[in-house]
Amino acid sequence: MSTVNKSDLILDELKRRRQREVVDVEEEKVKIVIFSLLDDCFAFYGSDIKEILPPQTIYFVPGAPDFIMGVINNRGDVESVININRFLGFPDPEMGPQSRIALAYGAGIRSGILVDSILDVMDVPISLISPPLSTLDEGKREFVTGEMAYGNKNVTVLSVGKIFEKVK
Amino acid sequence: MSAYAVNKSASMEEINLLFFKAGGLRMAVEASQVSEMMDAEGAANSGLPLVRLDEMLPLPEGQTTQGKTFLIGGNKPYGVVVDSIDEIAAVGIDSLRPMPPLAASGSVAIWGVCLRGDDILLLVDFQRLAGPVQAEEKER
Repeated sequence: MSTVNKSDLILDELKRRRQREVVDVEEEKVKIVIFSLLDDCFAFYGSDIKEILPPQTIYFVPGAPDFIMGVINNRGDVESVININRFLGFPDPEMGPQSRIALAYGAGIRSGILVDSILDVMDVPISLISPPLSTLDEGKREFVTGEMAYGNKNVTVLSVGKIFEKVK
Repeated sequence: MSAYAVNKSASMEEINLLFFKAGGLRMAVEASQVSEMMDAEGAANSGLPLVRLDEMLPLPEGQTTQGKTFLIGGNKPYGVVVDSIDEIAAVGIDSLRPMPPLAASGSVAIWGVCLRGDDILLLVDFQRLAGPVQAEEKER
């Protein structure tokens, strides 16, 4: 009776594994900037966001549209700041220490967008972003490109391009 | 009447701006647009039509009525009442910026901004305000 050495078994197993054809497919990912507005979570695609700026003075511009909060001085560049709450049916925001201005680009327009806080910037597999909920409020739906989970919260992914198309 | 002339000279690389406050906002107008500055009493005695800036522009805090008045010359001179005058200064044109497109769709009289340190001051063109003022005069 022949005895099988354990080391031989291991070597055989390694040989089998090496022969096994392994195709490593990395799923396409997309960068997402997750932010809060009141108690809700939203996100922009990272490719639409050029900078995230700290809270600062927003200078009122007489006669500007009501969704424009004013303008800021970003290192010598003057940028408009959009009140995104107006598009989502939320009350007007207040600038606080956690507030951030996301400098966004879309539809040929560059503008800041005031958000209550930035929660995360992360790469997520595209497959994790699902189509917008059919139950979504009609007013918001035109700006929404998808939904995703973030911890135990639902995140609504917004399109900067669609928002800017609406305002230009 | 207390009135004094505004220095209108400036090089091509800079612009003389008259900085003032109105309705809680800091603004500036090209000094050459203002032919005189008067106090409230002088403005009242001048017999010129007077307009408050908050009647021409939606200003966040409204205006005091006891401010200074800029006399705007031309065929039909008129006065523009502002809250206070800060200074007159020559400013390099490289510190001026156009209004961003989304914010520019408001009043045509706001033609850009002036950067002073971290601050932003609105540039007002009183000649562009003149249209509505003179139309109002015509109706009277």
